[in-house]
Amino acid sequence: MKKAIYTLLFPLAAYLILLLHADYLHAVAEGDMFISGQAFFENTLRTQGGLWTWIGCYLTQFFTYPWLGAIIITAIWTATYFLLIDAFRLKGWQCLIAWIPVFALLVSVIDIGYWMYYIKMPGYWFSQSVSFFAAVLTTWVIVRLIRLVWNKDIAWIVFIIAYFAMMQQFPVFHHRHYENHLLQVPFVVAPISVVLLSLVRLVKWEPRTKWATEIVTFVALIVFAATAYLLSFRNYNFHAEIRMQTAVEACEWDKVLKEASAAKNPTSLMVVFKNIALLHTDRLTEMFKTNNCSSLPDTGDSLTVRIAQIAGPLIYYYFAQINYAYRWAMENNVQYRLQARNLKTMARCAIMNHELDVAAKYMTVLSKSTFNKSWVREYEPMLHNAKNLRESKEYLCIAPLLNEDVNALDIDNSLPVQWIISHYADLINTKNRKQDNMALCASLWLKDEYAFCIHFYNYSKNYPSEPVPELYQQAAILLGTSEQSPINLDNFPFDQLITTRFENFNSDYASMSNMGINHKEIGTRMRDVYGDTYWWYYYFGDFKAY
Amino acid sequence: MKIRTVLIAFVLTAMLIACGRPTVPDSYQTESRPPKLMPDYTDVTVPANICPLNFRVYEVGKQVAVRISVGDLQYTYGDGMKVLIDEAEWNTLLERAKGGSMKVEVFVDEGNQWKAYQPFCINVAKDDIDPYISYRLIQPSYVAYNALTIAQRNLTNYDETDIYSNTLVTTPEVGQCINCHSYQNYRTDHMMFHMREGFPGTMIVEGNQLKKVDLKTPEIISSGVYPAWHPTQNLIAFSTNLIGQSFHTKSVAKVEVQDKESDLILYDVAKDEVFTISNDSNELETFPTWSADGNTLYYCSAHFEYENSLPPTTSSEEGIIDEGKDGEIIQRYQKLHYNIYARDFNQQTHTFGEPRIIFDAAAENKSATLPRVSPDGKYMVFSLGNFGCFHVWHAEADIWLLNLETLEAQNLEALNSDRSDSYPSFSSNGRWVMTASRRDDNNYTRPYIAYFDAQGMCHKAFELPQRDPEFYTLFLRSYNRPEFMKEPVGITPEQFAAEAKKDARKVKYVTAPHD
Repeated sequence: MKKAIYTLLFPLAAYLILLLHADYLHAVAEGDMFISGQAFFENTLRTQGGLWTWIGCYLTQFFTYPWLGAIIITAIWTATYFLLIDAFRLKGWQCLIAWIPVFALLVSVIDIGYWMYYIKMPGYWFSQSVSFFAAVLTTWVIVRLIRLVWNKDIAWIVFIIAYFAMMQQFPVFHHRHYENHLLQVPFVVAPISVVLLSLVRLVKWEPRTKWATEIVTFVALIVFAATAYLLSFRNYNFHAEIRMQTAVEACEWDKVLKEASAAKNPTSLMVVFKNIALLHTDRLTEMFKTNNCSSLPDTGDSLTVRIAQIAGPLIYYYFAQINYAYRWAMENNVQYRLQARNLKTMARCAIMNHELDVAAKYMTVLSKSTFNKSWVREYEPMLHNAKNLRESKEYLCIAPLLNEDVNALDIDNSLPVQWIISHYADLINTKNRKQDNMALCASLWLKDEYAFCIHFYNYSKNYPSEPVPELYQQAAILLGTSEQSPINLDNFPFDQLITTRFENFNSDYASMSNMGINHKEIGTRMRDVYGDTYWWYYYFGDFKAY
Repeated sequence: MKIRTVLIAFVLTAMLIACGRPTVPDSYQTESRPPKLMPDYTDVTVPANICPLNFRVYEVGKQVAVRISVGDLQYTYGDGMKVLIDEAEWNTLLERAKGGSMKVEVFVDEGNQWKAYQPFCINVAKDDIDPYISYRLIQPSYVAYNALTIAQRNLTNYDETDIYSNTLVTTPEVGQCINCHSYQNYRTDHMMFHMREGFPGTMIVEGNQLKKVDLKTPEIISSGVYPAWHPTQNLIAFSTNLIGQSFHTKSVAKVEVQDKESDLILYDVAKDEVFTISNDSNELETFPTWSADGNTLYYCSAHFEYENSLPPTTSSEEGIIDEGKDGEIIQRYQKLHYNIYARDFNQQTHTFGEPRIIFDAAAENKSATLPRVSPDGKYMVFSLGNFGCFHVWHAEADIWLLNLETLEAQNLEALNSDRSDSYPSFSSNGRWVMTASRRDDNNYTRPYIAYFDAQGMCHKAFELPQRDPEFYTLFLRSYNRPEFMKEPVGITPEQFAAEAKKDARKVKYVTAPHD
């Protein structure tokens, strides 16, 4: 009984560690794709280790439900462990060593962080474990057969042959001009540790008591589990981005805003997600009240991350740039690997573009995977009846931005956010309030004084009897009253509170500046009092486009 | 590949045996229209050496029974809503129907009753088709690419094999783009394709010899792009192009691919020499193609004068061009209208005559691209769109036929669709015309083939048949540059890969010969 408990300790720990990364595992499932049928099977088999890739893609789907995928992969690892014990005839403390390859495989699943967007191996999260298991299983079968006629320990030789014969493509973590070799370590450790199992049997040392063996086992398993956890990619923003992306896809704006408010030092992607949520809850004028400054993502290595590749399709989609959303979904599918998330975006874009045949195609493809059928059932009615589309929550969000009537030919230089902001800042002939707000806020985001003044002038004309939002007053008092301003705001009825606060802002700045405090430090000191104003963002705020 | 094919054939046969043949119902309701099929094979004309035209019936129902008959010979099929035809039986049907047609009757079990649709015909021409075609399989992406394959397909069955795959040489660090496979006179002992980025160069096959050449010299704006093998001589005409892409914000065309500069060169395969055929700075010359006798070079050209930016200059480094030109050509993208020109070619001296226009598309505010001449020299097919040179993204693009004797042009309506139809080509006997069409879904290109009879009439096109009728729905790659071939390629993909890894030999630039 005790032995069973100790044996299950590590799988249990591995399972719990996986569940701690549930948001990531769910994103993994969305970032991969399996299609049942001949075409996908044949196409996958064309690559080296294609069978393992195919199985890997099939099993990776199960991370849609992280608890389920985690059970499956933990079961594969546990089976690998038992087969190794039997193939190498390990006993007592020696069995611990058989956990090393499993430990390595666990680490390989949870340590890659932002590389999840760039790795070009479909089904990576399962295929490595499956191919390793296949090599071990083959070893076990052959060793068992050999033992019937020849009692020799040649498991390690058989394993080496089986491993190289069945090896999956060796994972390469390469993007642009950078390659991370550290992430390859688990794939070296796993096979080498198996070969070492043969040597372990030669070590004659045994703890003096059974009790000591149990202590050693227990401590070692705790160390394994703790090390695996510490090696996992636990960056807060990385996980928050994933959670926000999932919420954006479901139009769950409150969740997005909740995540945004919890972030201390958000990435640009998180800021964009926050602004999308504000845009579609008609609160875009709060974009500078909420934190609009951003940092670059901490990838843990020298990987250069681009928003276009992480969430470009989704961002374009919710800013109603359907063609560009489709394009980046396609580009990312081609450049990295086929992803369910991108296929869904392409289907949604095709519906919005009234390209119903290709939308139906993507729906059919998605319906050939195991866990996307319900998504297809939700969206399929939009193909057959435009009313269903018009009543969908995402259409209601996007529609007001869709009716720009001018087609333009342009290039985004792989910088979606920059392009979107510039596009809306340049928008003329706005057609509704959502477009007006988008044009105004984009010009403020871009710190484009001229564009803001023009949009502000139009806004004042379009809504003469309505109170002007605080943000626009703040921006107007800063940008519209300068000598370069193309508009005259001499008689504009600014709110007295705003005028006073602006004067205080200026005098506080001037006094700190006279004290010889540098600009950056002034920004830090003034943030508590003025961090919710556009003036602070204008002078000190920094949004990093990448 | 063969083992897989055998396995699939075995499984399908086993399924057929297990299911048995469906029975045509005795009583049914009649429907006065033909059934909806995918692919649509109603009333198409096919060659007598084509593989079975498997299809799926897209009507409400749970089971289909399809009777195909020629005279008293008849077979029934049905596997759910799919129709998977036995190859041996199909060949018998084809043999009987050659020069005539087979009748197809479709019955659908709707659960509580059967419905019979209006029967349709599959016409079988007397003329065979080339046994092979080749194409590049590529996802319809814009800038990105990854796994690319140039594949060859046996039309008499479903076998598809790789001619070359970039996965043989690419690594995560270095990708490789492959494109523009081309053959001399439908034969594969003289063929070529380009490789870009990783292990760049142009792969040339001469008999069983391979060589990789670098066609870029300082005198020309890029290495060779769109090729045309001379039909008899060891010469290839190429366009050289500086290409840019930009993206529509609203139009479903989505992307414009434009030449910022383009010229024509001639490459002597034996001597490894190139010379300029044409490099007028106000002309965008491209898409060369030879007449069947090799005495005329046809090509497309758009007159374009940069107005607001620096005048065109020859760039010494491929892809580098001043931004003003980039911006201007994007702004004026709808002003690019390509005409078709001809220049006489002296096969002894390798000299060219003066250009003469043979199809003035610009006069009609249209743009003509991708011309190909029939083997008898009587006709030319080309793609006609509203503007630009990359008609695969232009839904309005259709295939047109030009009578080279009368210079009268007509739309090949039986071949075309309301979506993009481009890259036309004739079979080696001139009786079949193939196009790369986006009619299925407006995004993925599929080969469609039409019978082109001796009177110059085109018949309804059929989609390249696949073993699984659902194949095209689930297949996420386009068929790019479908080309007819008389035979399969004799060089293996591994041989190509080995040659690809070698350094390309530089060609020499020489001045064009004069009379």
